[in-house]
Amino acid sequence: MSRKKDFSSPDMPLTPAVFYILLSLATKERHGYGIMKQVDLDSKGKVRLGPGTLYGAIKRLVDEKLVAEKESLSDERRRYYKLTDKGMRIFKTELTRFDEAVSLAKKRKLLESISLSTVVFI
Amino acid sequence: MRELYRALLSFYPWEYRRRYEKEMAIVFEDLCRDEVESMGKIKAGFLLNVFSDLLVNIFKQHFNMLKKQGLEKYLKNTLSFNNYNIVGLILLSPILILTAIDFVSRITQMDLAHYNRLVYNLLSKTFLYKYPVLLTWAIIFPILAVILNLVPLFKTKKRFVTFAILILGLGFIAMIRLHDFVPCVVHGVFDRGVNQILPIINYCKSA
Repeated sequence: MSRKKDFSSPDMPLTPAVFYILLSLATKERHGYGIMKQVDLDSKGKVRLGPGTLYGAIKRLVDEKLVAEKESLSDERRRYYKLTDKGMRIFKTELTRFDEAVSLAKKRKLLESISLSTVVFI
Repeated sequence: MRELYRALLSFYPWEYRRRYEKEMAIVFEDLCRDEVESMGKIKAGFLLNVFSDLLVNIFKQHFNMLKKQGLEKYLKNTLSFNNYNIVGLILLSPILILTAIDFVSRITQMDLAHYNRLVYNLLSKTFLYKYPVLLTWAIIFPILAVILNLVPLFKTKKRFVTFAILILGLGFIAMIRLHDFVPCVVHGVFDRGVNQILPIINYCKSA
């Protein structure tokens, strides 16, 4: 089965790379290098994107209209990327899924026995 | 290193390059600058990560294009193949495959100078090595491939693939023509000295 997410069905989980890219764009628009640094920071170094992986993911997100491209006024060599309404909707669906999973884990007292840092995205 | 990275970027499909090539080159420069600032120099591990990430993603993008466009459109639109190139490549495919088998079998026996007897014995029993068939794929097909690809050389503007097929075809023709001649000359020069080159060439031609 393909691991790639079909964004037309928002029930499928996002890959870690796509999740962190959307997370980095949820608060402000960024250029490619900015996204890379923010993903590294947000994931505490666990998700490191090379330029190949980053722009491969960006192309797919732009093609699927989850992310929009914007020319930079200050630096014409760079392009900025921002989340679209569809991108934000899918990102929020994913956050809700995490929230529900964490609530369920808390209710079953599972979070007391495991460290949060070892939680792996499913 | 930057030049190598930029050169590798040109292996992405054209549509992808048009959109992201410049930005990826800038990001690579930013990463190199960061690496120098934090580590003092660019380390091999860093380069290995970045270049392997690039190569894997070049293949991924080509595979995505192939899935999206189908084989025919992918060859024509993404790789700029024309019909002459496709037929030329089909004609060259038997000798390409057998040369690859020969090369790999020489590597596995760790002796590049001599053919692998086991593989040769197996192949020589197949119909591919019966004289008329052998003559066809080893000589007639490469010559036809070269002649066919002279046409797009003058007809089209995108000539990269045509040049590649012409070089490949001419290379195979030269390889077949010089298959025994070159090793014979090299051995003769080592045995009898370079001052005897003319008699050696005459001897090898007749041999």
